[in-house]
Amino acid sequence: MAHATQISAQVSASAKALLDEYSAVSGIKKSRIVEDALWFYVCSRQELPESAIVPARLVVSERGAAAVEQRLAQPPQATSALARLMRTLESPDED
Amino acid sequence: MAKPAIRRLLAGDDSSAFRCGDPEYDLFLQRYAGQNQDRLFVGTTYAALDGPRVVGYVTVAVCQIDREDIPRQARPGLPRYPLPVLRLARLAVDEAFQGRGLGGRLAAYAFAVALEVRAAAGCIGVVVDALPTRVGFYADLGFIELDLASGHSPIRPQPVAMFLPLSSVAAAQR
Repeated sequence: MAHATQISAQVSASAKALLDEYSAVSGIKKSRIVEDALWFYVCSRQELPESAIVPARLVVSERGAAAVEQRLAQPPQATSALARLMRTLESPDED
Repeated sequence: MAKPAIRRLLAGDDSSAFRCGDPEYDLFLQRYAGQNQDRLFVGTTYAALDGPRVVGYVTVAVCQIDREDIPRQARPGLPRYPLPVLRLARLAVDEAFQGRGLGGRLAAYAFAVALEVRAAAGCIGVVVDALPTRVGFYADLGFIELDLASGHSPIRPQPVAMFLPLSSVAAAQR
């Protein structure tokens, strides 16, 4: 590793255990794993920007939870606009 | 004029000329939608096609609704486990095809996909990331605004997250 320098970082115990275990199993030095992982991470973020990723977890506030709960407990009737919209799938041939 | 057919985006589909009026949506389709779908499996895009040309698209992803971590005694109501939903994250129509109802058909197609997901794997509702100018359209369909603590769309200007239970969509199909 040309021009190597030292870094220090606080990581979770599980991340440290993963690093130790992978290094022991693969025989690759921890410094090499960290360096490669960093490059992979930065390159992947450049390849796929933040704006292209859909967050998979929506955390609702208490107010939001109450609204969802109410809708699930008493689902609203389909509005006429929704019924019309779904019918657009039934005649796909012509505008 | 024949309506554009809607189906899952394929690698050979031509999106090079797609222009919806927002370059960020054009770029997503042309550069990231395919890899999100076929390499990372984090979202699926359904394309409306005029011949080989993509003239509209809708991107959906399986997500979950969870509630803020609050004291257990104050948590009646919503179950503690996450609720699976289909998130309609992006919808765009080429400028030449705008005003013909294609956006609505793409939304309806995504809702029909959500019903299939419900039958195949479980799904309780649809969440749309509605552009601020489209909030009224989704409200007319029965959607309500979701008060999110986190998990907002990264798109700018920030869309409004809105929710509709799938039982309403199923009722609309009867």
